[in-house]
Amino acid sequence: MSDPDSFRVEPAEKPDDFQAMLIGAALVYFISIIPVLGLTVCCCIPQTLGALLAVYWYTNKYKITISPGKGIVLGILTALLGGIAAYITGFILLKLGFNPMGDMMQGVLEQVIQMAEENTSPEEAEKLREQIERALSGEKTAIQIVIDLVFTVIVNAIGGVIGGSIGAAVFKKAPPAAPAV
Amino acid sequence: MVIRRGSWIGIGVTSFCFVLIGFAIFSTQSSSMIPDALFGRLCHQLNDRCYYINGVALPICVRCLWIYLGFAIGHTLFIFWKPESLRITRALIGVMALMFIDVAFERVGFYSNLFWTRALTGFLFGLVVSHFTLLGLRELYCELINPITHVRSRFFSSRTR
Repeated sequence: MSDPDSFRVEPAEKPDDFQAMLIGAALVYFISIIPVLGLTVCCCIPQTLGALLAVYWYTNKYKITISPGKGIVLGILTALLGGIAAYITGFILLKLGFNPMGDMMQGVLEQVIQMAEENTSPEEAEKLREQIERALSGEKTAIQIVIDLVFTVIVNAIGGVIGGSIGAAVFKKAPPAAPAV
Repeated sequence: MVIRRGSWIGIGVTSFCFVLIGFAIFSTQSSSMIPDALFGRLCHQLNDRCYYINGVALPICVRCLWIYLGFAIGHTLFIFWKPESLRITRALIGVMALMFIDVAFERVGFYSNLFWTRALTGFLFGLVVSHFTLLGLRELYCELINPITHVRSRFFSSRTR
Protein backbone atom coordinates (compact mmCIF):
# COMPACT_ATOMS: atom_id res chain seq x y z
CA MET A 1 0.00 0.00 0.00
CA SER A 2 1.36 3.41 -0.86
CA ASP A 3 1.93 6.03 1.78
CA PRO A 4 -0.39 9.00 1.07
CA ASP A 5 2.08 11.38 2.72
CA SER A 6 4.71 10.56 0.11
CA PHE A 7 2.66 12.51 -2.48
CA ARG A 8 2.47 15.65 -0.38
CA VAL A 9 4.34 18.55 -1.97
CA GLU A 10 6.19 20.67 0.57
CA PRO A 11 6.66 24.31 -0.41
CA ALA A 12 10.27 25.15 -1.19
CA GLU A 13 10.18 28.08 1.20
CA LYS A 14 7.80 28.65 4.08
CA PRO A 15 6.01 31.98 3.55
CA ASP A 16 7.41 34.59 5.87
CA ASP A 17 5.46 37.83 5.98
CA PHE A 18 7.94 39.76 8.11
CA GLN A 19 10.14 40.73 5.17
CA ALA A 20 7.12 42.01 3.22
CA MET A 21 6.01 43.88 6.33
CA LEU A 22 9.40 45.56 6.67
CA ILE A 23 9.48 46.63 3.03
CA GLY A 24 5.97 48.09 3.22
CA ALA A 25 6.76 49.76 6.54
CA ALA A 26 9.87 51.33 5.02
CA LEU A 27 7.70 52.94 2.33
CA VAL A 28 5.22 54.23 4.95
CA TYR A 29 8.13 55.53 7.00
CA PHE A 30 9.82 57.40 4.16
CA ILE A 31 6.63 58.93 2.78
CA SER A 32 5.57 60.00 6.28
CA ILE A 33 8.94 61.37 7.32
CA ILE A 34 9.83 63.39 4.21
CA PRO A 35 8.22 66.78 4.88
CA VAL A 36 7.29 67.71 1.30
CA LEU A 37 5.72 64.32 0.60
CA GLY A 38 4.00 64.39 3.98
CA LEU A 39 2.43 67.71 3.07
CA THR A 40 1.12 66.72 -0.34
CA VAL A 41 0.21 63.10 0.25
CA CYS A 42 -2.84 62.63 2.41
CA CYS A 43 -5.99 60.56 2.96
CA CYS A 44 -4.07 57.61 4.48
CA ILE A 45 -2.15 57.29 1.21
CA PRO A 46 1.26 56.48 2.79
CA GLN A 47 -0.29 53.71 4.90
CA THR A 48 -2.40 52.41 2.02
CA LEU A 49 0.57 52.36 -0.37
CA GLY A 50 2.78 50.66 2.23
CA ALA A 51 0.16 47.99 2.89
CA LEU A 52 -0.32 47.46 -0.86
CA LEU A 53 3.42 47.06 -1.35
CA ALA A 54 3.65 44.57 1.52
CA VAL A 55 0.80 42.44 0.14
CA TYR A 56 2.22 42.64 -3.40
CA TRP A 57 5.68 41.59 -2.19
CA TYR A 58 4.29 38.73 -0.12
CA THR A 59 1.99 37.32 -2.79
CA ASN A 60 4.50 37.81 -5.60
CA LYS A 61 7.44 36.28 -3.77
CA TYR A 62 5.64 33.12 -2.67
CA LYS A 63 3.21 33.00 -5.63
CA ILE A 64 0.21 32.70 -3.37
CA THR A 65 -3.22 34.23 -3.08
CA ILE A 66 -4.09 35.53 0.35
CA SER A 67 -7.51 36.02 1.87
CA PRO A 68 -8.82 39.53 2.60
CA GLY A 69 -8.46 38.84 6.34
CA LYS A 70 -4.79 37.92 5.99
CA GLY A 71 -4.31 40.99 3.77
CA ILE A 72 -5.82 43.21 6.44
CA VAL A 73 -3.61 41.77 9.18
CA LEU A 74 -0.52 42.24 7.02
CA GLY A 75 -1.65 45.77 6.08
CA ILE A 76 -2.36 46.87 9.64
CA LEU A 77 0.95 45.54 10.98
CA THR A 78 2.87 47.16 8.09
CA ALA A 79 1.19 50.54 8.52
CA LEU A 80 1.57 50.48 12.30
CA LEU A 81 5.26 49.57 12.09
CA GLY A 82 6.04 52.32 9.58
CA GLY A 83 3.70 54.91 11.09
CA ILE A 84 4.87 54.56 14.68
CA ALA A 85 8.52 54.53 13.60
CA ALA A 86 7.89 57.75 11.63
CA TYR A 87 6.10 59.31 14.60
CA ILE A 88 8.97 58.51 16.97
CA THR A 89 11.56 59.79 14.48
CA GLY A 90 9.56 62.98 13.93
CA PHE A 91 9.24 63.48 17.67
CA ILE A 92 13.00 63.09 18.18
CA LEU A 93 13.76 65.47 15.28
CA LEU A 94 11.39 68.06 16.76
CA LYS A 95 13.14 67.75 20.11
CA LEU A 96 16.47 68.31 18.34
CA GLY A 97 15.05 71.50 16.80
CA PHE A 98 14.69 70.19 13.23
CA ASN A 99 11.25 71.25 12.01
CA PRO A 100 11.09 71.85 8.25
CA MET A 101 7.29 71.43 8.19
CA GLY A 102 6.98 74.16 10.81
CA ASP A 103 9.15 76.52 8.74
CA MET A 104 7.10 75.78 5.62
CA MET A 105 3.81 76.33 7.43
CA GLN A 106 4.98 79.48 9.22
CA GLY A 107 3.67 81.88 6.56
CA VAL A 108 0.31 80.12 6.23
CA LEU A 109 -0.21 80.04 9.98
CA GLU A 110 0.67 83.73 10.30
CA GLN A 111 -2.19 84.42 7.86
CA VAL A 112 -4.53 82.22 9.91
CA ILE A 113 -3.62 84.15 13.06
CA GLN A 114 -4.12 87.45 11.27
CA MET A 115 -7.56 86.34 10.06
CA ALA A 116 -8.46 85.19 13.57
CA GLU A 117 -7.41 88.58 14.97
CA GLU A 118 -9.67 90.33 12.47
CA ASN A 119 -12.69 88.06 12.85
CA THR A 120 -12.69 86.91 16.47
CA SER A 121 -12.23 88.41 19.90
CA PRO A 122 -8.64 89.33 20.98
CA GLU A 123 -8.69 86.63 23.69
CA GLU A 124 -9.58 83.88 21.22
CA ALA A 125 -7.00 85.12 18.72
CA GLU A 126 -4.35 85.14 21.46
CA LYS A 127 -5.36 81.61 22.50
CA LEU A 128 -5.07 80.45 18.87
CA ARG A 129 -1.67 82.12 18.53
CA GLU A 130 -0.41 80.34 21.66
CA GLN A 131 -1.73 76.98 20.43
CA ILE A 132 -0.11 77.41 17.00
CA GLU A 133 3.20 78.60 18.43
CA ARG A 134 3.23 75.65 20.83
CA ALA A 135 2.46 73.26 17.98
CA LEU A 136 5.22 74.75 15.81
CA SER A 137 7.80 74.69 18.58
CA GLY A 138 7.17 70.97 19.12
CA GLU A 139 6.42 71.37 22.81
CA LYS A 140 3.93 68.73 23.86
CA THR A 141 2.40 67.74 27.15
CA ALA A 142 2.14 64.08 28.14
CA ILE A 143 -1.59 64.10 27.30
CA GLN A 144 -0.91 65.52 23.84
CA ILE A 145 1.69 62.83 23.21
CA VAL A 146 -0.78 60.13 24.25
CA ILE A 147 -3.52 61.65 22.05
CA ASP A 148 -1.05 61.88 19.15
CA LEU A 149 -0.06 58.25 19.58
CA VAL A 150 -3.68 57.09 19.76
CA PHE A 151 -4.51 59.04 16.58
CA THR A 152 -1.39 57.65 14.90
CA VAL A 153 -2.50 54.11 15.71
CA ILE A 154 -6.10 54.76 14.52
CA VAL A 155 -5.06 56.41 11.25
CA ASN A 156 -2.43 53.79 10.47
CA ALA A 157 -4.85 50.97 11.23
CA ILE A 158 -7.47 52.52 8.90
CA GLY A 159 -4.88 52.88 6.12
CA GLY A 160 -3.66 49.34 6.72
CA VAL A 161 -7.18 47.91 6.51
CA ILE A 162 -7.83 49.71 3.21
CA GLY A 163 -4.46 48.86 1.65
CA GLY A 164 -4.44 45.26 2.89
CA SER A 165 -7.93 44.46 1.66
CA ILE A 166 -7.37 46.11 -1.73
CA GLY A 167 -4.02 44.32 -2.09
CA ALA A 168 -5.52 40.92 -1.28
CA ALA A 169 -8.22 41.48 -3.91
CA VAL A 170 -5.98 42.82 -6.66
CA PHE A 171 -2.73 40.86 -6.28
CA LYS A 172 -4.05 37.36 -6.75
CA LYS A 173 -1.75 34.58 -7.86
CA ALA A 174 -2.95 31.31 -9.24
CA PRO A 175 -2.06 28.32 -7.06
CA PRO A 176 1.01 26.44 -8.33
CA ALA A 177 0.26 23.78 -10.92
CA ALA A 178 0.31 20.18 -9.71
CA PRO A 179 3.54 18.43 -10.62
CA ALA A 180 3.29 16.05 -13.58
CA VAL A 181 3.47 12.42 -12.48
CA MET B 1 -30.59 38.47 -0.19
CA VAL B 2 -28.87 36.68 2.69
CA ILE B 3 -27.58 38.24 5.88
CA ARG B 4 -24.31 36.50 6.72
CA ARG B 5 -22.28 36.08 9.89
CA GLY B 6 -20.39 39.05 11.25
CA SER B 7 -22.85 41.46 9.69
CA TRP B 8 -22.78 43.67 12.76
CA ILE B 9 -19.23 44.63 11.72
CA GLY B 10 -20.69 46.36 8.67
CA ILE B 11 -23.15 48.23 10.88
CA GLY B 12 -20.28 49.10 13.25
CA VAL B 13 -18.10 50.54 10.47
CA THR B 14 -21.09 52.45 9.08
CA SER B 15 -21.75 53.95 12.51
CA PHE B 16 -18.05 54.79 12.95
CA CYS B 17 -18.02 56.64 9.61
CA PHE B 18 -21.16 58.59 10.47
CA VAL B 19 -19.65 59.47 13.87
CA LEU B 20 -16.52 60.76 12.07
CA ILE B 21 -18.64 62.84 9.67
CA GLY B 22 -20.73 64.17 12.55
CA PHE B 23 -17.59 64.96 14.54
CA ALA B 24 -16.19 66.88 11.57
CA ILE B 25 -19.42 68.85 11.14
CA PHE B 26 -19.86 69.71 14.81
CA SER B 27 -16.17 70.57 15.24
CA THR B 28 -16.80 73.71 13.16
CA GLN B 29 -18.74 75.05 16.15
CA SER B 30 -15.90 74.37 18.58
CA SER B 31 -12.43 75.87 19.06
CA SER B 32 -10.90 72.58 20.24
CA MET B 33 -7.66 71.46 18.55
CA ILE B 34 -8.60 67.76 18.79
CA PRO B 35 -10.58 67.58 15.50
CA ASP B 36 -7.70 69.24 13.66
CA ALA B 37 -5.21 66.88 15.31
CA LEU B 38 -7.26 63.86 14.25
CA PHE B 39 -8.34 64.91 10.77
CA GLY B 40 -4.98 66.56 10.06
CA ARG B 41 -3.53 63.05 9.84
CA LEU B 42 -6.24 61.90 7.47
CA CYS B 43 -6.57 64.89 5.17
CA HIS B 44 -4.62 67.87 3.82
CA GLN B 45 -7.38 70.22 5.10
CA LEU B 46 -6.81 72.82 2.38
CA ASN B 47 -9.54 75.41 2.92
CA ASP B 48 -10.37 75.92 -0.75
CA ARG B 49 -11.21 72.23 -1.04
CA CYS B 50 -13.52 72.02 1.95
CA TYR B 51 -17.21 72.66 2.50
CA TYR B 52 -18.07 75.58 4.74
CA ILE B 53 -20.64 75.68 7.51
CA ASN B 54 -21.52 79.14 8.81
CA GLY B 55 -18.34 80.47 7.27
CA VAL B 56 -16.10 77.88 8.95
CA ALA B 57 -14.32 75.25 6.85
CA LEU B 58 -14.84 71.59 7.75
CA PRO B 59 -11.66 69.88 8.99
CA ILE B 60 -11.87 67.39 6.08
CA CYS B 61 -11.85 68.04 2.36
CA VAL B 62 -14.72 67.27 -0.01
CA ARG B 63 -13.13 64.06 -1.28
CA CYS B 64 -12.48 62.68 2.20
CA LEU B 65 -16.01 63.52 3.35
CA TRP B 66 -17.50 61.64 0.41
CA ILE B 67 -15.10 58.72 0.87
CA TYR B 68 -16.40 58.37 4.45
CA LEU B 69 -19.96 58.59 3.17
CA GLY B 70 -19.20 55.90 0.57
CA PHE B 71 -17.70 53.72 3.28
CA ALA B 72 -20.70 54.27 5.51
CA ILE B 73 -23.22 53.32 2.83
CA GLY B 74 -21.09 50.54 1.33
CA HIS B 75 -20.54 48.70 4.61
CA THR B 76 -24.28 48.39 5.07
CA LEU B 77 -25.07 47.78 1.39
CA PHE B 78 -22.64 44.86 1.03
CA ILE B 79 -24.10 43.07 4.03
CA PHE B 80 -27.14 42.36 1.86
CA TRP B 81 -25.61 42.32 -1.61
CA LYS B 82 -22.76 40.07 -2.71
CA PRO B 83 -21.49 41.15 -6.13
CA GLU B 84 -19.49 38.87 -8.39
CA SER B 85 -15.82 38.85 -7.35
CA LEU B 86 -14.27 39.59 -10.75
CA ARG B 87 -16.76 42.35 -11.50
CA ILE B 88 -16.21 44.18 -8.22
CA THR B 89 -12.42 43.87 -8.56
CA ARG B 90 -12.68 45.47 -12.01
CA ALA B 91 -14.92 48.16 -10.53
CA LEU B 92 -12.26 48.82 -7.87
CA ILE B 93 -9.53 49.25 -10.47
CA GLY B 94 -11.91 51.45 -12.48
CA VAL B 95 -12.73 53.83 -9.62
CA MET B 96 -9.07 54.04 -8.62
CA ALA B 97 -8.20 54.96 -12.19
CA LEU B 98 -11.04 57.50 -12.24
CA MET B 99 -9.73 59.16 -9.08
CA PHE B 100 -6.19 59.21 -10.45
CA ILE B 101 -7.43 60.77 -13.71
CA ASP B 102 -9.38 63.40 -11.74
CA VAL B 103 -6.26 64.36 -9.75
CA ALA B 104 -4.07 64.32 -12.88
CA PHE B 105 -6.50 66.44 -14.94
CA GLU B 106 -6.67 69.02 -12.19
CA ARG B 107 -2.88 69.12 -11.86
CA VAL B 108 -2.43 69.47 -15.61
CA GLY B 109 -5.03 72.24 -15.68
CA PHE B 110 -7.85 70.71 -17.73
CA TYR B 111 -10.15 72.03 -15.05
CA SER B 112 -9.73 73.77 -11.73
CA ASN B 113 -11.10 72.97 -8.31
CA LEU B 114 -14.34 71.06 -9.12
CA PHE B 115 -16.17 69.87 -6.05
CA TRP B 116 -18.51 67.50 -7.89
CA THR B 117 -15.70 65.45 -9.47
CA ARG B 118 -14.00 65.11 -6.10
CA ALA B 119 -17.27 64.15 -4.46
CA LEU B 120 -18.18 61.61 -7.14
CA THR B 121 -14.78 59.90 -7.34
CA GLY B 122 -14.44 59.89 -3.54
CA PHE B 123 -17.89 58.42 -3.00
CA LEU B 124 -17.42 55.69 -5.62
CA PHE B 125 -14.01 54.80 -4.18
CA GLY B 126 -15.38 54.53 -0.64
CA LEU B 127 -18.36 52.51 -1.83
CA VAL B 128 -16.38 49.93 -3.80
CA VAL B 129 -13.51 49.58 -1.32
CA SER B 130 -15.99 48.93 1.48
CA HIS B 131 -16.86 45.58 -0.17
CA PHE B 132 -13.26 44.39 0.30
CA THR B 133 -12.78 45.79 3.80
CA LEU B 134 -16.06 44.24 4.90
CA LEU B 135 -15.00 40.86 3.49
CA GLY B 136 -11.69 40.99 5.35
CA LEU B 137 -13.07 42.29 8.63
CA ARG B 138 -15.78 39.63 8.57
CA GLU B 139 -13.22 36.92 7.96
CA LEU B 140 -11.11 38.21 10.85
CA TYR B 141 -14.19 38.18 13.05
CA CYS B 142 -14.97 34.59 12.15
CA GLU B 143 -11.36 33.49 12.72
CA LEU B 144 -10.63 35.42 15.90
CA ILE B 145 -13.87 36.05 17.72
CA ASN B 146 -15.91 32.97 16.93
CA PRO B 147 -13.51 30.45 18.53
CA ILE B 148 -13.62 32.47 21.75
CA THR B 149 -17.42 32.54 21.86
CA HIS B 150 -17.48 28.86 20.95
CA VAL B 151 -15.17 27.94 23.85
CA ARG B 152 -17.14 30.19 26.19
CA SER B 153 -20.47 28.65 25.23
CA ARG B 154 -19.04 25.14 25.66
CA PHE B 155 -17.68 26.11 29.08
CA PHE B 156 -21.03 27.44 30.25
CA SER B 157 -22.99 24.52 28.82
CA SER B 158 -20.71 22.03 30.63
CA ARG B 159 -21.22 23.90 33.92
CA THR B 160 -24.98 23.88 33.63
CA ARG B 161 -25.13 20.20 32.81
